[in-house]
Amino acid sequence: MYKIFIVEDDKGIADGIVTCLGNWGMEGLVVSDFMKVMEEVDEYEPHLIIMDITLPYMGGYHWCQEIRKTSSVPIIFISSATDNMNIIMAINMGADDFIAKPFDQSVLIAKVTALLRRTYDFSQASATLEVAGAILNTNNNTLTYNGTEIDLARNEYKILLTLVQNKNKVVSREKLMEALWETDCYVDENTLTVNVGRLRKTLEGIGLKDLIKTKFGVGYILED
Amino acid sequence: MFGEYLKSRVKILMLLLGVAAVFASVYFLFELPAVTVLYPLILSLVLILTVGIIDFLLVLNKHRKIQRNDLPEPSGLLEKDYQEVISKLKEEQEFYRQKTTSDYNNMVEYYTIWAHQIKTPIASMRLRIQSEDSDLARRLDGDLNRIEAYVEMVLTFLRLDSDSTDYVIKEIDLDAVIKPAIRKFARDFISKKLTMDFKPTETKVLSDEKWLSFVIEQVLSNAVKYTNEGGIKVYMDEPGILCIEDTGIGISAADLPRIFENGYTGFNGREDKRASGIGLYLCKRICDNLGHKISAESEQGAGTRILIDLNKRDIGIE
Repeated sequence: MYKIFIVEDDKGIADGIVTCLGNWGMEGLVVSDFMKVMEEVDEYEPHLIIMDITLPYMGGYHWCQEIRKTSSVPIIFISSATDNMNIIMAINMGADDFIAKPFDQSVLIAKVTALLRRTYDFSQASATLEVAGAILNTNNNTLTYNGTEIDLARNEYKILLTLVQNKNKVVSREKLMEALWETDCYVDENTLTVNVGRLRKTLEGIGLKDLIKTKFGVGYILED
Repeated sequence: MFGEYLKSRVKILMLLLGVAAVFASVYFLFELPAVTVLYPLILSLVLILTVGIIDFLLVLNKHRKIQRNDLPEPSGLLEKDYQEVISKLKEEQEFYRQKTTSDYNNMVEYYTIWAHQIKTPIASMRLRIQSEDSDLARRLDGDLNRIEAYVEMVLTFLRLDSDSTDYVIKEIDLDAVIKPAIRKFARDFISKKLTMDFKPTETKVLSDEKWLSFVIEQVLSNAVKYTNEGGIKVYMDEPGILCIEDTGIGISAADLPRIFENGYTGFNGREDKRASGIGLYLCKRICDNLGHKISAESEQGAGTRILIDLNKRDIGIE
């Protein structure tokens, strides 16, 4: 499991990031003492660090430089100061990427996973999600069940992924549509119904009949 | 110039003329020969002319100096008084100029800090709301989007004319600007059940990515705001002209020519109390700065079409 260290003084954002990472099978830890960032990094040994620029005592630039003296762990800066100067500064200090506040969960996850993929071995366990014995591989959009692997179409994959991430919870049709919009697929209600129908057929093909259940008038649910 | 000089010296000329006349008439009455008058008269004329030319040149010199905003040494009491008044006014003006500039800079600085401050709670709320799947969360997220847009507008308004504003004009992929803009309004589209028909433009344009995306977002935001059924189309039929077309309430013919004016809200805006009339004004100003052209076509009750002409134009790229 990938470990992400979060250096952010706004509790809301820090907790939000942890939850968001958790949904993707990653573990997040928030810094507890802003004077001892280095010590905490050394102790936790994260795979990636998410760092705010404005912090109590010492700023993010400082810590970034300190960390760079001993480690090449990927660092992503998050900041509301989005002018080019700040971005250039961040990169010069040794950061690997920059995210402007306020950001979408999807943007955060996309950048984190991209950076992890580039830095570490591609095929680590956290790239897969499991539900009811089926393995969804987020690297190549495939689903494996009982030894059979199938490729999922882009929309099918996105729908299934959203359901898996929220397994045992009802996912509204709106949320599924939003997930598809995130991939620049501007579906309406009818298209969604068609897509879900297609996904069900695909799942049935490898013996996962009725994996997706309809909650009438609300949405869909995928149970373990 | 010379005429004005003569005018300023008219008193002394009259005086000289008077003196000459007195001499001439007295000589005449004493029946002295005419040459005794003419001879000194000519000599005096030469003298007056020489002094006159020197005087004129001096005045001309002073005049030019003053025109260059450079006050010459005062000669005489009145000039000294005037110069004192002028320098006092200058000092005062400089004082107010500096005060205004520093007040303005302070204000810009504060607004900039404020905009960055408010982004942290927005970010925090967004992260939390996005992990909720409910109608309430969706509504709150929509509101949050609006707050963010308003903050962005403040920053844009401040940066628009600031000297330190950076325009980075380069070739950019237009679709890469449009797609994130559409994504921003996904929730609004879905909750209002509007369709989005985007035909990829597959075009590269010469523009500034950040500023152009502000314009496109603003236009999309209006389209979503004023459309209750149907949907929005984004396409490029003519090369270089991006069209954003909605099936919304439209703009009346009377309002149409004025929608890009600062603070103009028109009928739609007056209905919708939140309208500030500043969004499209900013779009127009940004387009002007970027060398693009923005225009609108509309039919009331049927929809609006905003056209952004992104064709290359000479805007003096460095």
